[in-house]
Amino acid sequence: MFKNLIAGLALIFEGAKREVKLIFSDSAVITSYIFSVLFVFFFYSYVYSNEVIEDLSIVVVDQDNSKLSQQVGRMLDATAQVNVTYKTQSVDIAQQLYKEEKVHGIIIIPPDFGHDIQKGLTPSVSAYCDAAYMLYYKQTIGAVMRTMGTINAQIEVNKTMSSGVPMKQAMASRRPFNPVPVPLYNINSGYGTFLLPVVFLIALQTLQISAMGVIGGTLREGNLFARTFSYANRKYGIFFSTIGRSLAYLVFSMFLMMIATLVVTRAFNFPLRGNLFEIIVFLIPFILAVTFLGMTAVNFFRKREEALMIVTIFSLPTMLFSGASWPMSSFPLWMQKLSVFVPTTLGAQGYVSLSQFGASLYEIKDIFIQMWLVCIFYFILALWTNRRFICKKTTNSI
Amino acid sequence: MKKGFVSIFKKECVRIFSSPRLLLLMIGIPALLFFFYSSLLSENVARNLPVTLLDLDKSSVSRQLVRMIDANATMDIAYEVTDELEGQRTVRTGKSFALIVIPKDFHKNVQNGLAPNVMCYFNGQYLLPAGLIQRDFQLIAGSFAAGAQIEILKKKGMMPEQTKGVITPIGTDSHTLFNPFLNYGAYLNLGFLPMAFQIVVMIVSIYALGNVLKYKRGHELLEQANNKVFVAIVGKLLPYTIVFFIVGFFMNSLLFYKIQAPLNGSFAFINLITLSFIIVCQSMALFVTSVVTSLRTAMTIGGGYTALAFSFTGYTFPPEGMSNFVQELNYIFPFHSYLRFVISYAVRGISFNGMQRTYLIVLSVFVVIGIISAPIYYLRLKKGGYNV
Repeated sequence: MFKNLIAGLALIFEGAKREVKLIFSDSAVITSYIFSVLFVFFFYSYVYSNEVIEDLSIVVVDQDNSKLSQQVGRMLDATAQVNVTYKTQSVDIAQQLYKEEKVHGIIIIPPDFGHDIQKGLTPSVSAYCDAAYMLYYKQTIGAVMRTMGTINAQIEVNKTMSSGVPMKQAMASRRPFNPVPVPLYNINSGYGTFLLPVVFLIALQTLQISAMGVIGGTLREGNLFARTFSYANRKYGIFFSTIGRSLAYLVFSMFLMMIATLVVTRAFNFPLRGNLFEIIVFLIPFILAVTFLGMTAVNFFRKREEALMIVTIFSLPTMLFSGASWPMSSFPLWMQKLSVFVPTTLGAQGYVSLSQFGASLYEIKDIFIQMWLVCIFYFILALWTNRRFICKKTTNSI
Repeated sequence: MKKGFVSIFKKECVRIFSSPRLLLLMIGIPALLFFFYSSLLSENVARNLPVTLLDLDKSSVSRQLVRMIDANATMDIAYEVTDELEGQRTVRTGKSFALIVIPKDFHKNVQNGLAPNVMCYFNGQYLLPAGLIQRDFQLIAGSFAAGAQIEILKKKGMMPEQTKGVITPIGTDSHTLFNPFLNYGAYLNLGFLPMAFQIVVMIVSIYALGNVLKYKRGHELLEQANNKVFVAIVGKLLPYTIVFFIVGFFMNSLLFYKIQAPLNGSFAFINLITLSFIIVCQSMALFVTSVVTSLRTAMTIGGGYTALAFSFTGYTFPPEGMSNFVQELNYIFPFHSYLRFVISYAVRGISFNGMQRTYLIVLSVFVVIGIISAPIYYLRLKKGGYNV
């Protein structure tokens, strides 16, 4: 019993050692696994490091040219979101500018705008926002809403005051209560802060699996699979060697994730909250799940090129599965269930909760437990795969 | 052995249709991804996002506000908590997108005209839900306030028509161009479907051209093409172009008719652009295959090149937010020009402008790169293959 345990431990150690050798003996693997991952981490951070768009160009068509209508233009220009690059009185010119893609929104202030307000009629400012690109739309409509809200409040308070009400009371009577929206975690709606924690995990998963696929594909192509892992071909050998091999990836991937968490986020000033130790503990089942998935995927890769082909194609769909671009609660139900089988889905949820929202591991224990279940699921598949390739070939050769 | 263009073309066709793996990669995987994206985004607009409510007042007025929040299409009160810490936890663990707090004595303070604060702590990390919740929270507050104001003004003796001018002196007519219902399904699919498509085009084309070199059949191919490199290349790639065009046509039909992305241009012309884009990708595939020294490097570079392309289209995050260097870098990816051209032409209905001309010029540059690399490919074929 004791002897078996020692033999098992030795096998784990042997498996880890040989896997490290396998990784370092193929330059394509090192490029994909280590250098590409680091490149993606830094490069994406650089691309999105500006976080927000400021001063999007718009045109104001002022058909009134009164004091108030000019104030609307000035206030729009003063917002962070947009910049009034052109002012004109002609709708045709504005359309032309839009068609030439020199502006991304048109604001039209109708004739007699100032007069109508004085008369107590309700003139409307028309905002034409370009929803062909969602962020152009958001920027323009956000600026318009904010500006109109402020101007409306001013006019309303002025009107109430003119009927003899003191300013403080006029302000208070405007609204029964104040709505106060407070953004949490990503307070400036920064695009980098939003995307990068997820990109870290997706890049690691994609590139680690393709590296493992290249190793597996090379071994299968040369019919070397069984010979390479012949040391594991004994009682419980597959079990221990699979664990040993996964430890090698655990160490490398954890190292890469620590660079992402500690170096990249600091270098580009992305926020980082939470307890580092808990992040590491959470990442263990994630990385192991990715590793076992990678071992299982070898079933599909008969040649080394196939790994590279398939895995890159699926990087964007897994991104979508993580619920970053489209909220998970809006997935069809069967897709919500299916998405759990991709390690990054739970991985991203947990990692973002820990590192961005500052949750404790105890608070997200249900995600943590599910992550381990996914890990065990792929571990069993990986055992089956390894057994299939290692044992089958050996019996054939005898 | 038969020689000439037709024989290469025929041989390649046989190869495609007798290899289930190749068929799966060229037709199965794009179809699977098209299905994946369109069903994942089939709800089109994000509704019923879970939010947490903390009502410390529990009066008739606060309940009225709660009912208005719950009736809103965007928000769904999934959790009702009794203390703030518990509420924060639901947001922190990602179960809920926002915590709305109605303070104590809300009813009393509203009646006394003290304007209490109603807080909405929303999770800013997820940009889409954050934007929707923030917008709708303020809309609800606005209509709640307007309702109360109108009552007060009517009691003061104003006519209902008069009250409107007091409450909103200036109205806002918002015109949402080209995507009137802010349909995220159509919006994201327009980017994701061609994205998946171009990766497949690039990878399969590299595979087709590089396989000859990997298995050292270069001499054979050249002989069959009577030593004319263009005959060899076109003969080899044309069957793929045709199959991809059919897939691309299917993709466009799916986008503009099934998913109902806005279509303000000619459908036939869009397909023509897709066809040109396939040729552009194949030209780049030829370039990549010719300059590297092994098929797997070609695959890594080609795959990486196309897989990174989405971020550089500036579709979900516009180029205006990127540094100048990255803005220029965008043009290195043919997908940037293709997608922006399609959006400009098909969605916005702009027939032709300066930007579109830029995109077309950029796309033709890629074809030129492909043509220039043909002689390099010829040298490789003459050698027989990689590593000879």
